[in-house]
Amino acid sequence: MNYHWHWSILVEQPYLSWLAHGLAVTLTLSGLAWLIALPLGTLIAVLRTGPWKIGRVIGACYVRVFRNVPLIVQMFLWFFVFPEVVPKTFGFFLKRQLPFPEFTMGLLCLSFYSASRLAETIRSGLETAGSGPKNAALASGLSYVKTYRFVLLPMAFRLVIPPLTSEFLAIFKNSSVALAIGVLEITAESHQIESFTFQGFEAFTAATVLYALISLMCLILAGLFKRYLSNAGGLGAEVAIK
Amino acid sequence: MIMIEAVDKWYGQLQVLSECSASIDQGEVVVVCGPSGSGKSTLIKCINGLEEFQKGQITVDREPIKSASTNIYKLRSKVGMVFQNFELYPHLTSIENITLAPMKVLKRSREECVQRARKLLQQVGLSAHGEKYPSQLSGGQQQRVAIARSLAMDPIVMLFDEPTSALDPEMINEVLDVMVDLAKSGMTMVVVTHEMGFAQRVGSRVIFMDAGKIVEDRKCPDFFSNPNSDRAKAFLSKIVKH
Amino acid sequence: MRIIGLLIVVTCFSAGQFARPCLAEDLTGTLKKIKDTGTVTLGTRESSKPFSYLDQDNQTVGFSVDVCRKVVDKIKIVTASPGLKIKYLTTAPSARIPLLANGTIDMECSTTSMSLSRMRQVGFSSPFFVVGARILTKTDSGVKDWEDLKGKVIGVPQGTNGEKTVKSLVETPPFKGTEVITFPDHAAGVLALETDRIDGYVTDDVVLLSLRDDARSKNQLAVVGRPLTFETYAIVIRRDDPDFKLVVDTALAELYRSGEIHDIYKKWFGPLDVPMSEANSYVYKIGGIVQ
Ligand SMILES: Nc1ncnc2c1ncn2[C@@H]1O[C@H](COP(=O)(O)OP(=O)(O)O)[C@@H](O)[C@H]1O
Ligand SMILES: [Mg+2]
Repeated sequence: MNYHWHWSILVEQPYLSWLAHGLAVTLTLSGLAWLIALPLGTLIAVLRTGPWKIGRVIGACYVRVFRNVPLIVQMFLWFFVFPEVVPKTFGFFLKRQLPFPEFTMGLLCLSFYSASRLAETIRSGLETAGSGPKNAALASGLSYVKTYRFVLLPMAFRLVIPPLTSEFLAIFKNSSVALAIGVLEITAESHQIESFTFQGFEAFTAATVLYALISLMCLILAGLFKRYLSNAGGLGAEVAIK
Repeated sequence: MIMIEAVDKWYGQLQVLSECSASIDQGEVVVVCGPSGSGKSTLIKCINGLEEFQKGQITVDREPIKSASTNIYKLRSKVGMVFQNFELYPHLTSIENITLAPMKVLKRSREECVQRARKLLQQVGLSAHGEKYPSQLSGGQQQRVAIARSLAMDPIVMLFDEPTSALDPEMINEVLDVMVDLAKSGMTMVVVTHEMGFAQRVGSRVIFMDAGKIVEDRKCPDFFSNPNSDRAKAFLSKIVKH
Repeated sequence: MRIIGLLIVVTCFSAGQFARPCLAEDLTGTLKKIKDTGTVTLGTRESSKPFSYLDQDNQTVGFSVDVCRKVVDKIKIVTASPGLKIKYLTTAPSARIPLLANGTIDMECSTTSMSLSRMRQVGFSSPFFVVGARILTKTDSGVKDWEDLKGKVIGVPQGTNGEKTVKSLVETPPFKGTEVITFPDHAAGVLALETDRIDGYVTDDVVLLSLRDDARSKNQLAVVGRPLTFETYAIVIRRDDPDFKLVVDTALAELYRSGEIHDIYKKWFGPLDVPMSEANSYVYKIGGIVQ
C-alpha cells in the first residue's frame, strides 16, 4: 500500500473548519428534521389509526408515497422538480428568494421522509397499546383527541422508545443524502477534503468518528430519557397532570 | 333509564344482535348472562355507543344514542363502564387513572379530583395504593381501581363486562363485595357475569342471551328456580356445576 | 538502491536513445510491476468529456486517454514488453487514490488538476492541459464577464479548485452579496442554470464547453468571461516513484516536441470548435523538454 498518511490535515485550516461546518450542518439539519418529523409523524400515525376514514386514507397514502420513494429521488424532486411545477412566482421564490435554498429544501425533504418512517413506528406503538385502554378512555367520555393525547400516545411512545431511538439515529445517517443537492454536511465536507488533499482515508475516518460520536450521544440521551420515564412514571403522567 | 328497542347489529355478514329489546329502570341491577359469543359484550357496548348498531334505538336517560343531536361524549361520561381486563392506563398511577376523565371531561380542578379519588380508593379498600402504577397492583386491586375510576365521573348507570372472569378465584370476592356495596347504595347497574351468587344476592332481573337474541328477561329468583327455555336450563346446569 | 536503479534507467535511456530496451532486472516500482504483470491499468472516468469517458460502445476514450496511450507506448519500449496490455478501470473520483495506492491502477488519466496539497499524497506527471475557470451562462442573461455576476447567484461543482476560486472571489468587497451554491456534479449544475436557479456556472472552461455541447438548450448557453485562474491537468501516478515519473514525463515531452499532441488536440477539440488556447500552446512548447 503506497498511501501517505497525514493525520495532521484534520487539524489544519481550512480543513478543520470545513469539518466543523459539516458537523454543524448535520446537527442542525437532523435536529430540525426531527423537530418537524416527530409531530408530523405522530399526526400521520393518529390519522392512520383514528376513527375517520378520510384520515386513514390520507395517512396510508402519505406513508406509502414518502416511505417507498428513495430518499435521493425525493431530494431531487423537491429541489429541482417541485419549483418547476408550482406557480411561476412561487417557483421563483423557491429558487431565488428562499434563504439557504438547498438546506431548506433538504430539510423539508428529510423531515417528510422521516415523518413517514416515524409514523409507522408510532402506529405500531398505538396498535400495541391496543383497543382496551382506548375503549376505556372513550367510555369515560374523553374525545378521540384527548384519548390519543392523554392515553394512547403516551402509551405508544413508551412502547416504541427503542425503535424511535434508531429512527432518530437514522435521521443523522439519512441527512447525508442531502449532499446530492449540495448541502455541505459532514459527508460532503469530507468528500471536499478528500478532493482537495487526496487524504481520503483521514477525511472519511473523521466523518466516521463524528457520526459515531453523534450516535453515542443519541444513545446516551435515549437512555436518560428512558430512565426519566420510568422514574417519573412516564411521559403520560406528566402530560395528564399538567 | 335505559331503553333498548329492537336493536340489530351485524359485523359484516355476521349478525351478532337481533331484535334485542329491554328496559332498565333507575336503581335496578340487571344481570346479563349467556354462553360465550352470544352478544353480551356487544350489547352493553352499544349502550354507551362504543359499538354502532344498524337497526333499532337505545335511549339512555331519555337521550337516543343514534341521533345527530346527541353529544355521545357527554352521554358516555354519564355511563360508567368496567371491563373484563380492567384496562387501566398503565402509564398512570391509580390516582391519575381516576382523575384523568373528571379533569379533562368535567373540567374539575385537580385538587377536587384528587380528593375525590382518595375517597373512592378508600371506598374500594385501596387507600394505600393511590401512588402505585397498575403493574404494581394485583388483578383484583386493578379492577377495584377501575371501578373507582368509573365512579369518579358520577355516572347515572354502571356497565360491567365480566368484571371478575379474568381474576384468580381468590380475588373474585374482593371485587364482588365492592359491586354488592355499590348495588346496595342504589346504583343502576348492568352486569355481564356468570357469578350467579352475585345475581342472587343483589340482582333485580336476569337477561339471558343466546345467539344474539334476548331469550329470557325475568325477575331474579324466578329465573333460577324456573327458567323458561331449554337453552337457559342447559346453561344454568353448566354454570351450577362449578 | 533506488538511486542506483534510477541511474541505471537514466543510463539506459541515454545510452540506448530509447532504441534498445533495458534489462528487466533493472526495473523498479511501477515499471517492474507493469513488466511482471504484462498489463498497465489506467484509471479513467465515466463521463468527463472530452478527456476521459465511455462512448456509446462503452469504450474508454478521450483526450487524456490518448495521451496516456502514448505514455504506454513508451513504457512498452522501456520495459521491453511489446505485448503489454492496457486495462481500463472506470473509477469514481473518491476511489482513485485508494486504487492508486493499493496498486490497482497505475496511472489516472482524466481531468485531475495539479495542486501542492495533492502532491503530499500522489505524484503528478508534467502538465498536459491548461484550463481556466470561466462562466457558463444563458445567452440572454446579460452576463459577459465576472463583474456581471456581482450580487447574483453562482453555481460551482463541489470539491473543485473552481469552487475555491469563486468562493475567494465573492469574499472580495465588490462581490459582496453574491451567493455561491455548490453542486455535487455538473449535471445538477447545468440543470440549475437551465431552470434559472443560478446566473452562472463556473468551472474549467473546456469542461464548460463540452457541457454546453451536450446540453439540450445548447443554443441558449454560452461560455463567457476571461479565465480567472489557470489550472493544469496532469497524469496522476504514485508518489515516490521517480523512475516511472521519468518515463511518463519523457513520453509527454516527446509527444509535445514531435507535435503529435496537436493531432490529438484536433481529434477531440476540433468537433467542439475550440481552438487551442495560448496558455495551452505554451505548455506544449515549454513541456517539449530537450533530450
Ligand atoms: N370486532 C368484531 N368483529 C367481528 N366479529 C366480532 C367482533 N367482536 C365480536 N364479534 C363477534 O360477535 C359475536 C358476539 O361477541 P360478544 O358480544 O363478544 O359475545 P360475548 O360477550 O357474549 O361472549 C361473536 O360471534 C364474536 O365472534
Ligand atoms: Mg364478552
